[in-house]
Amino acid sequence: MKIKRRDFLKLSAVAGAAATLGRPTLNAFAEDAKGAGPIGELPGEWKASTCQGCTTWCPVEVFVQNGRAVKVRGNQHSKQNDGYVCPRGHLSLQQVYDPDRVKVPMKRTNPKKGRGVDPKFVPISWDEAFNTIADNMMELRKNGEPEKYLLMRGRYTYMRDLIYDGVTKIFGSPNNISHSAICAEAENFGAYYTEGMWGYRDYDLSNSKYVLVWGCDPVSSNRMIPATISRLGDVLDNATVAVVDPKLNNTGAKAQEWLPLLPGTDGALALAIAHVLLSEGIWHKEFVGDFKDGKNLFKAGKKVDEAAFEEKESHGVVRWWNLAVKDMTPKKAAKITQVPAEQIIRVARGMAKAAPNVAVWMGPGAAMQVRGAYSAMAVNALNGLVGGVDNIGGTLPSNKVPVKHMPSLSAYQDEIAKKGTKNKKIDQRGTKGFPALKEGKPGGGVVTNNTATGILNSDPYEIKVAVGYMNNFAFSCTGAERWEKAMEKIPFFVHITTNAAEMTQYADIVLPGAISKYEKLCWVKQKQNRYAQCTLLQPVVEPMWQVINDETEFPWMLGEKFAERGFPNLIDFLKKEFKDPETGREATNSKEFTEYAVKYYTQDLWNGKDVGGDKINGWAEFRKRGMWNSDPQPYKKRWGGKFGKDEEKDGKKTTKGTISHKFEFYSETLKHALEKHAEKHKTTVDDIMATCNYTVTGELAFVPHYEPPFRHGSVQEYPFTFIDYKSRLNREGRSQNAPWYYEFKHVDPGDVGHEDVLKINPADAKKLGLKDGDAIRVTSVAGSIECTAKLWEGVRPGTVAKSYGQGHWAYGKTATSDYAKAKPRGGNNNTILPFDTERLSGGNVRNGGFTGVKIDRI
Amino acid sequence: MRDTDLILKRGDCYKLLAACFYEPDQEMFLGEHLSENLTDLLNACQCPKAAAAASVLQAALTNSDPEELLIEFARLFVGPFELGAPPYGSVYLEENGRLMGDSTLAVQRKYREAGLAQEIKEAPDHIALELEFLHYLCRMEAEALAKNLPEQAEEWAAIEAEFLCRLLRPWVPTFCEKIRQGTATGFYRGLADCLDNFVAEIGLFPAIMPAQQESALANVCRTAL
Repeated sequence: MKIKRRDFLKLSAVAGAAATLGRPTLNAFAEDAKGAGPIGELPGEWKASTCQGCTTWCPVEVFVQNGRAVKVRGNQHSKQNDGYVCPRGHLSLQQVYDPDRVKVPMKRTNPKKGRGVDPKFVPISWDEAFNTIADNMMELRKNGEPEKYLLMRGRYTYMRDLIYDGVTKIFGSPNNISHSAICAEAENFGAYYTEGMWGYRDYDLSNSKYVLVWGCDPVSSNRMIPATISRLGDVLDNATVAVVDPKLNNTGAKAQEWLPLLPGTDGALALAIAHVLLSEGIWHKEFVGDFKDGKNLFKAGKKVDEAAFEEKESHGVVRWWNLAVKDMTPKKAAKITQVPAEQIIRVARGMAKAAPNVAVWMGPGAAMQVRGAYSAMAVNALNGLVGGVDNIGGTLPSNKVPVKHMPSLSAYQDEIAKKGTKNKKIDQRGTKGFPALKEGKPGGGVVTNNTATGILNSDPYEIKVAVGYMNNFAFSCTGAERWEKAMEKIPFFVHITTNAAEMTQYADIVLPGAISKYEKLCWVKQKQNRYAQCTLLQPVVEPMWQVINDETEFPWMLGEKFAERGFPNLIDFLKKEFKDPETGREATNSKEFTEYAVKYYTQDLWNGKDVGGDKINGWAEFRKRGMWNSDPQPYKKRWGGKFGKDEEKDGKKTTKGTISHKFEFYSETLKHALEKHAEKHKTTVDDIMATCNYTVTGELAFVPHYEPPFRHGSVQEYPFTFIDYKSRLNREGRSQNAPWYYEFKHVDPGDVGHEDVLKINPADAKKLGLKDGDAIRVTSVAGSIECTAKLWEGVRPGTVAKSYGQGHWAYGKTATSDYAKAKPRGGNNNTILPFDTERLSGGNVRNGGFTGVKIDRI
Repeated sequence: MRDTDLILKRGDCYKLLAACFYEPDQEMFLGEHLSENLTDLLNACQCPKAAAAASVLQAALTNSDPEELLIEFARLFVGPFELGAPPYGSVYLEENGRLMGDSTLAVQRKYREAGLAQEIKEAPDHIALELEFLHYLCRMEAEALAKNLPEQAEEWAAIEAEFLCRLLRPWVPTFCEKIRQGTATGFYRGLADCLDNFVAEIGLFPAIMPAQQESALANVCRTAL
């Protein structure tokens, strides 16, 4: 905020005649008697937007009165959330009006970088900011090393293409790195290598007769929160809800069954349920098929002749039984998991009775483990055994959202860019130890948290310029301190963010980002309750400061600066490929470009074309409604051998989905992917398995099987197994500067308002001599945090639980205890959770009891 | 009879104080004799403590490194991390310390009623805007007097008094204390002392409004505080 005119400092003329006074010299205001409308009396209106507080991506409406957002509700047209939001939806009001937001572009004046080192940021103009960024980036192209540019993507919308692909690939770098693997990829792995879908499942909750929730808490996290909150009561009346979670969660507190397994033993529990379903002959025969003579040959410990069984929609059930299921009796699993055998049997029988209207709701807890790929497969395989896949009351894929794809950018890539993008990626995906087998392709997925390793070791090369948006890897990735060192090493880093946080501590330029729900124009797609949706994020209020849309305005403004430096390719791409679909006009500024780009992607939803779902008459109506609903997802769409589809492109044959085209209990698809990866590295699958920290050899690598949990820290030195989970008030990690976060913290079961507590079983607390409220230090092999003790029966003796969210040492006034001293408020779980990866998927490990801790009173 | 000259001087006090809460421009501040002018104006307005504080600003400015001054300005009032002294009224007046509270809307309403449109992108209750608004009110009061419209002048004075007492004075002392605690820089410590004392002393200034209204206003102020 600058003084615009020097005159402002001049003194007023000595009073005389009125005429001699002249008009006042104003800086912040203009005299505008005509424009002075009322305020405080306007009726207000509901304006449509989208909440990105979690991955539900709820279509919402914000009540705006006198230009101020005051209330939030679900979009009244939404078939996903029925017009309601969860507590996070309201919490966002304290984010948009947070006095600690980034308000102007800033630059660092202290070249030294580190925790507790004052960056000495000063305000700069947008022009200076983008000139500096463009100079640093163009220097890389000049030196023929554009691959040394890195883009780190955090929470995105579907306008991500422009900054993630557009800027990076036209500039010439292969390094567009997504946040995706921080918390999810192993879960997608489980779904892909059974039912051929790399994505999250939808749940037909209203028609379920049995819901087995596994490793998540659907009323507080995952992808259909408001829908689950409003339906859970009815589901509990009409169906059975069983929750598998090592600590008691919100859904578990209401459910008929809670199966508190030992962390990391999910595979054993899932196989034992499968064992009951198969050995008692109660699997769903319409889906899986049956023995040719109708006689059940699945007997505990006994191999079965594959030829005796005729499968229908599935593939390899007998081979799976023979390899991994036959010996995992409920009795054996009870020993491993600590879940009583009777409960395992009861749950399996309950599921069978309700089949096929059964949904096994898998969350990250079942998957994001060191050896979690196979537990994820095992849990999802149960959906197959009970026939709930694509079925009434079961799990569903998504209906298509008919939006446009990004136009080809190859014509805008010059030789430098073409050469640069062919380099290996900084996250080391596809190397022998990081297969990252997304959709069957070695190196197909991202290994987000390993990017720090690549940067630190300059392997495969040095990163010299980086841009991060809506991300905070130095806090949100396990082994967070590695990221601090990696960020120290990057010579020039730009952070586009709504709030300065740990990553910003290492920024050379900070740019103020728009708050997604209130200030951005973008779109996202999601599905719930059988309906897919496309929903707009819209600027429902005028931002208080000049903030930018990271995914569209950053590329545009950078493109203009590139053009000034003789490299017009980026701005040409944005102008020419994203013309206004209605008028054919090219954009002339970043705001116009944003609108044209959103119109380009979504045009078929509102331009009169019949694409099914809601009929929307024009762009204006789409903006007013804010969303489009698809038709309901049909059932059994992939039954009949459609879990995979062969495709031929440019003479190359590939399969999308499962290779057998069936639901795979024996994964031909995984076998193919693993063999391809082994071949690439001239070794065997057994060697790949050992390299990736798995214990099995041979055929077991291709079926859901049990792997003993891997643990960092010996039980002798670190006697407690740590359970990490997310607070239901976390808004993608961006609500910790909101006072309501602390006031309402007790909505996380066992938690205490205004505190960050480690929950300890009273029996353990007694042994340690701890009581409620004691200040404690929690230490693992990776690091130490300080927090408060809370005695709670919702965890087993020997395990302790703490929600992720607090512990910021660099943030705003509410989130940080003392920024200047880098003193956190509470403790960051990622300080004590060491960096480790579920290597087959690239997923960052957070669960499965992989961290041992010790507890000391402070 | 009001002293038009004094009203303008008071208005200029508001204005120069407002200027100090923009990005510091050492050359401009020194070139325009900001500190000397402010000291003289405050003395003329019978704000001796504020004047004494203003008089140290000159030396503090002269001895400051421009970049250090800008760093300190950012640390106190801009961020990007925790603000040393949030310059927004609502942070102090609203229960949860968020922006755009009811007090912010009250401020906005005053601007609009006075016929002003905000031209810079900031929260309406930023200290610099509120002070500039008070400057404008003084200016309008003086103009009304010069046009021999005493009743109109009184109306402007009443708006000033109400704004000062209800919307600015309640938070300025805490704000200034935060500045003092948050920085060792002479310029900003001096500025905090100056604003703090000015806002306290100006209320005692007899010319602000007729005695009758002053007593009514005293009640308003007590309620607001």
